[in-house]
Amino acid sequence: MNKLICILIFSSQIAEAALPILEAKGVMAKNEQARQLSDVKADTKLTNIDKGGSENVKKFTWWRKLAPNKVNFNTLTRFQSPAEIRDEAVLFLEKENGKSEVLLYLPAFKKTRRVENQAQSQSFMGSQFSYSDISTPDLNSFDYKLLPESTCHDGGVCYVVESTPKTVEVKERFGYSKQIQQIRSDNFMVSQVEYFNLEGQKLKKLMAYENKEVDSQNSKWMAHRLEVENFLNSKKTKIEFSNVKVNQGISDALFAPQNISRK
Amino acid sequence: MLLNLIRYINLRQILSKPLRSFLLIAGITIGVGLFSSILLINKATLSAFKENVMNISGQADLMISAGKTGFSEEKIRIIEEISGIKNIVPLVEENTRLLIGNKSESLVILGVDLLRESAVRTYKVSNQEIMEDPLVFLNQPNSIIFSTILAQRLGLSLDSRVKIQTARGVKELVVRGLIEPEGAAKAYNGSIAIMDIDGARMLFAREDNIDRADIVLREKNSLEEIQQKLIGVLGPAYQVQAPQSINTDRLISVYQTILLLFGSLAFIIGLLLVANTTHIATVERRKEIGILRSIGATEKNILFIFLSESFLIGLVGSTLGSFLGFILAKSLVGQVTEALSAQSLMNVPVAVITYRPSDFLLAVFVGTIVSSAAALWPSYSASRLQPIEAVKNQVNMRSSKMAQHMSALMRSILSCFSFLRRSIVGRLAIDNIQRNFGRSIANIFALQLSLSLVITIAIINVSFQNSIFNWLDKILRADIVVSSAGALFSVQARPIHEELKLDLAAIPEVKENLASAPTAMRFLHFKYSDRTVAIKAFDDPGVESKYKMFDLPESEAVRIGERLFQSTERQVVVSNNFLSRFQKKIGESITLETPGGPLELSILASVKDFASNEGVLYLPRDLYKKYWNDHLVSAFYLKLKDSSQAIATRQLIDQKLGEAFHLQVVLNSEVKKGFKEGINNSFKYTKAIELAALICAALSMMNMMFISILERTREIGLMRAIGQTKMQTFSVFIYEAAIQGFLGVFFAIVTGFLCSFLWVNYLMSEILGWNIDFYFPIEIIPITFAIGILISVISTLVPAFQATQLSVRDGLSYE
Repeated sequence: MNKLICILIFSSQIAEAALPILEAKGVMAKNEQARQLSDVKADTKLTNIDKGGSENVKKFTWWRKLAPNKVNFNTLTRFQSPAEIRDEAVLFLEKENGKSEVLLYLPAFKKTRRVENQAQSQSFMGSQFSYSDISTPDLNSFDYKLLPESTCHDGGVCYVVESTPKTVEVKERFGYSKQIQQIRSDNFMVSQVEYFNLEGQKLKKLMAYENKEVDSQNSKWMAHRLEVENFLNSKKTKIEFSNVKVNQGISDALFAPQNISRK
Repeated sequence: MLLNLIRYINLRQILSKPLRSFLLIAGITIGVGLFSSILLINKATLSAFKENVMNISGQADLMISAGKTGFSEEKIRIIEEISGIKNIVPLVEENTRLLIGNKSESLVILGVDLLRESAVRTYKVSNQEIMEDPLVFLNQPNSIIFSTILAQRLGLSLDSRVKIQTARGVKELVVRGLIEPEGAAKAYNGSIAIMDIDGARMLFAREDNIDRADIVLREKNSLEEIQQKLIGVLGPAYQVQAPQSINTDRLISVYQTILLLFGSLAFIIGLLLVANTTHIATVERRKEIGILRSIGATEKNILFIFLSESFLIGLVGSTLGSFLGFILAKSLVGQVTEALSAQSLMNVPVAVITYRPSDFLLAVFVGTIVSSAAALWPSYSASRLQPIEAVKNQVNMRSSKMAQHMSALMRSILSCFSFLRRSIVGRLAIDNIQRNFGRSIANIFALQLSLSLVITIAIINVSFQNSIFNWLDKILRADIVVSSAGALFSVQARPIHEELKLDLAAIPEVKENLASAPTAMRFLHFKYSDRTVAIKAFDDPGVESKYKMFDLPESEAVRIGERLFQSTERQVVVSNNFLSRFQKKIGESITLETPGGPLELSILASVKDFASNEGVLYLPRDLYKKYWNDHLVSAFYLKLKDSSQAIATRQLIDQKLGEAFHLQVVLNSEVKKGFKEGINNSFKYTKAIELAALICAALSMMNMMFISILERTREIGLMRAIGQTKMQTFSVFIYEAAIQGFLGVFFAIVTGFLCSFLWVNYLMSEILGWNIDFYFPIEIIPITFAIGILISVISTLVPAFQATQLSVRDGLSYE
């Protein structure tokens, strides 16, 4: 989720009719650069929609800060509602090698639990996102292939890049055999992603909406609404951001594992 | 020629005596059936056990455990430091009760870390996610996942509520996930549910302990190296095993061996039947043997004829026995599992009996070969007959000295029945027994063997009951015992958190009645020196209790109690069988490898205790808690100021806490009654074996009586010709059976007494470690006489009736 949110936060200029010639990895590198916002805080609403259309809503506050390596992010999510999950928190610490440390704080037990790597390819807390969807991928862990450009779902022209894990280990951690991303040519933000499961079936599709410029000084954008649909179970998840604040100088201490329980 | 002889003679013999052949086949069928059913049950139980381990272990290469209380999760940090380990997944396993209305059923709960679990175990789910909402599931201690098979049986769906017994009382849990009965979810026949590890530990008061850590290695070929590293790092209190190398508990093996032993006895009785019948057949067919020898048949031919006849009978009997074994195994497996669970104090899964062609062939092969072997000696004797002796039908009475002594003994025993000689029927019956010494001995022996089995089991049972009862009388002085619902005898009542002690004492009316604070006791099994001993950790009941929990003279008990509970020295009181089992003496030290590190204790005293056949250790509970990090209690003992208030106090506790904690509040007398029932249940599965042994003996007796009628056809005809009535003929056989029954019982009581005496006084303590006192229930004598004589008489009714139907002309013309 975080990765997608981040990918979609920033955008540069809208592409002109003819796209500059770039290699696939170059497109992804620009995409990585485009989301290097110093920090961000937002109120978030996550809605899970089941096959029958019934909705389950969770609200949380979301903090994100660029790590000292200027590539990865640390993210803290703290839930406010419903009551059963109030004060639960997920701390996501991205590592350079693509592996992430994910910690879950459970207030009922006053205990912090670690989410193992294997579990990171699974659903993120009951949503249609997985933990790997919300992390920043290590550029060198994937092979990229540029596919013919296409029209973005929300208008404009998009680069189309197919990413394939280089090793079995990355594939297992990632949880997909490949993904096909539409990257906007104007701001290098993701417009749409199609995910293929380990058996090669098309598993789900993510769409980004309401791109807004959140840091005009540095020309950074953020998608304020993301929707993902799972084709195998016909479930959907929607994330909406509001009250977005950037470059507020969030303290590193907020992302320290020992502080995960502090409200 | 030989084949023709076999075909002609064997089939003719078998078909010409259909009733005898039927009885013989029936005897072998029952013997082989019972024996193979026990083999099938044992095999299936072991394989169910193994399958359970493999199902629950999932992809784990190694499993770390440290006894019943488990070990601190902190140890995982140490384990993680070892290179070559890919994943470590903790697990808590709890046996509890699922409460459905007024009923309850067994449920195994696996407490797993669902955020790490996929590294070892995967669960197949129908709706993609194992938990409907992981954020809710993980943060709510009342979340539980059921297998779909159990959910369907109980009519549960997502969000259904179920009540289960926990260490903190009865708790209502919410079904927040459903999984298909595959992998770990099909262990324990699907009576399994999954909770998140923290929820399970909270409900079952496991502090930060886990029962197991499952390890997945990076390289499979480094298994032994990493196993050794782990043993080195963790110390001797920990077991580090590969799932496939886990053996079933020794306790199960012991009881399965006993079961097999008893089953073998029934088989042996069946074989005696074969030996006996073959012997009679050889006597009966002397003339035929003589003719065959005269026309050129060799000794080997004769031997072969009789052996092949037994082979054919054995083949048919064993084939039927093999099928019977399967039917018996299917119907008895539940009872055997229940008894094994009670005796081994483990949750033995009910096995599914599988019947493979190899099982069938093995039973047929063993049954046929052993039946043939049983006929070997009588067949060999027949083959050694000289043609002239055989043709003249002369019985060569070259009896051994032993046989002569036995015959003399029999005559002197029969002289006790001389009063029967006053009647003509009695005289004829006694003469018949004396004249057909071999046959009578066989009958008596078969009856003796089966009845001595019954007597031995009965005496061991009574000795167990009385020993435990007398011991309980001395040590159980509490008026009321409080524990969670479950069998106290087999310590299957699940432990409760110690905080209940405060709740008990807080009931004002109860507090008024108490002579002292409730005494908490934790009972559990613990590995010591590769054996499983029991630990009883008590709160200090105070000097006023006179420390009667120790089976010692009062002043000695007080001295020992004060030193154990009030001294700063680390000491332990042990059971007598612990001293003998481990060759220890009072004053010596023992070191317990506890989850909290080595604990050195000095042996303060030894007492009688039946809680474990391997030995019992008495510890102060404070010391126990420190080293085992376990705050659970198996039972609370309440001593009242006035014992007559026990029933009223029990009612009060029941009202206030009974339902909330699913407690059983039992009176002193009820505890003893429960133990008695428990011991009886432990012996329940032997009933089928005893019954089969008695049936075999009855069949043997019936067979012999038919043979006897055949042999005496001419004599019966003659007696009838000189005026013997049908009733007198009938009575002679019945008298004969009754005398043989009486003698069978007499010898059975002697051998049963000796066997049980040997078992109780020597073998039980040496092999099994039970130091019980020998009790001979005198009432067993008349009961056994009644049973033995009745069996003999009943099994003779049909043959005796057949004898009365013989006409004088047929009898006199019989050759």
